[in-house]
Amino acid sequence: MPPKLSSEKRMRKFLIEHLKTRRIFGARIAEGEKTVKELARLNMAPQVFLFKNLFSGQVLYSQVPAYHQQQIDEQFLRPNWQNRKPSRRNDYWRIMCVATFDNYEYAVAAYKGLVDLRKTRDVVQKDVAQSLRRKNDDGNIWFQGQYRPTYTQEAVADLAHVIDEFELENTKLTWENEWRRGEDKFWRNDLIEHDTLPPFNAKLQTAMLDELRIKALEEFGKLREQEESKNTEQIQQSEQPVIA
Amino acid sequence: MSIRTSSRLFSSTISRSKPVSIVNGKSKPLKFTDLKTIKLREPIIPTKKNFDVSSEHPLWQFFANGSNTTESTRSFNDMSHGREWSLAELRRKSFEDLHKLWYIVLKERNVLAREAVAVNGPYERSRNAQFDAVDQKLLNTHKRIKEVLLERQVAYERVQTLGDKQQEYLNDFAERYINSSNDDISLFNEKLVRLQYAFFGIQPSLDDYDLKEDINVKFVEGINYIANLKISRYFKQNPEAKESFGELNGVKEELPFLLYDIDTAIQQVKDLRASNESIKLDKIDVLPYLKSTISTFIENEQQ
Repeated sequence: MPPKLSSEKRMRKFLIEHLKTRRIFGARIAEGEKTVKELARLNMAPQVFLFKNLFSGQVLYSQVPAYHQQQIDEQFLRPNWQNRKPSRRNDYWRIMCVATFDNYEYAVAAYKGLVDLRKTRDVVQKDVAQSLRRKNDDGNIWFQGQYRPTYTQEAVADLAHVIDEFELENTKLTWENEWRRGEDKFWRNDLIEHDTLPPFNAKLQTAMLDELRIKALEEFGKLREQEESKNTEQIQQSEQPVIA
Repeated sequence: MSIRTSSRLFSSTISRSKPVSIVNGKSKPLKFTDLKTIKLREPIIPTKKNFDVSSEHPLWQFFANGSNTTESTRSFNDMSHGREWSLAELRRKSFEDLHKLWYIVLKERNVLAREAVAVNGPYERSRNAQFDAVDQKLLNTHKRIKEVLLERQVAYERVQTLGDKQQEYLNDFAERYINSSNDDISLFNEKLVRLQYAFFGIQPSLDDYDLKEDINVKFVEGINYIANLKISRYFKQNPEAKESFGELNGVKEELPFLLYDIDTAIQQVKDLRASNESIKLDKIDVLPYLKSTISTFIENEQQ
């Protein structure tokens, strides 16, 4: 085999660099934390999506109906043998719950709150979190195969915690399975309304989530219109001259 | 104080102050102020109280107690386990009974297999010797049911290959049947049912009749054999009736001996003769007559 020309070598190096840039790390829409303005600009509804991992039971939070490697890196800060950094493989993640909030401020706050609570459990108050988990006979987190149900249950508890703490009224939680939300005593009825997701097949998960987003967006638009019409009426009334 | 320290101080004072957002005209803290002071909540355990499951859901069949199940597995003492079915017991059972038994055993094996997964975990083979022992009994029953069915099939096929010996056997059986005592007759009748199926393809149960396929020349031969057999035995016990009754005249008089017991059959033949309906049918009319008569008989039975 004849030796490679330097131009060939350069070309090869360039090609490898190029391939690296082409690697896909997930849905680009899910990349980066979204502010209130960005959510509105992207035509997203005020929602938070909770995806559960079928393999390990871990839960991924997202502001949009998709996920990105960056979110996984951000939300699983201290991986260890009991809490591994989950794979991005899209056959592992299934929607567990869609939380629809009253407005974008609440949606952003809830997402940040959930990520904060995750950080608290994994980093800041590691021992406290560990003490709350169910253990097996060896003193490790209870598992079957690679599945640790405690992570899913913690995410549900954190969701209830965030809604209570920030008092996010008019929240609608749409569950994949009603079973997961636990007993009613954990939820404040004045703030939350529970619902169930329509039955869906794994292949159509994204389509179903997108439909939910569009519906929520429409409802949100109607509410905004009502509020605006109320405001204009009030302004008109206040502008009317008072007849003595 | 350098510029860097002052800026750090400034930012720390900001983060310490409680972040408050104004939403819908109300001010609310929409951020956790200090992660160290958060009181973490216990994981929320899922509960089945949130939904109803129909008690007739088919998956309940994988549980021994059906919809009344409270535990995922039974203890070994709760399992009703006896001995396995023996070959001798199974040989006495009809096809329907064997069919039912097969599915009862199959269901029980499925329940056991589910419990074994619950006990051992999904990736382990069964390690519970007690479960295995019960399962082995059920498996043996399954094997024996297959064996009994195989025996019957073999017997049926052997009869087809008997050839000239068939007539010899039939004559021999007829002799034994006619000379049997009243105590043995029920046993002989059971044997006759098996014989008529093996030699002439006459199904033991009326429900199994396929009128298109089963009623053929062999069937007619079978009726002839059975009717003569029964009437011969009747004449042997009541010799005085032989002369007045005479011989059976064709299919019309022979058929009642297949469908009814001997006394009813004889009465029916007498009625036929009294009403002058006892005619010997032409060969071409025999099969249509049998089909129509048997189908009306089956309908009457079902009503």
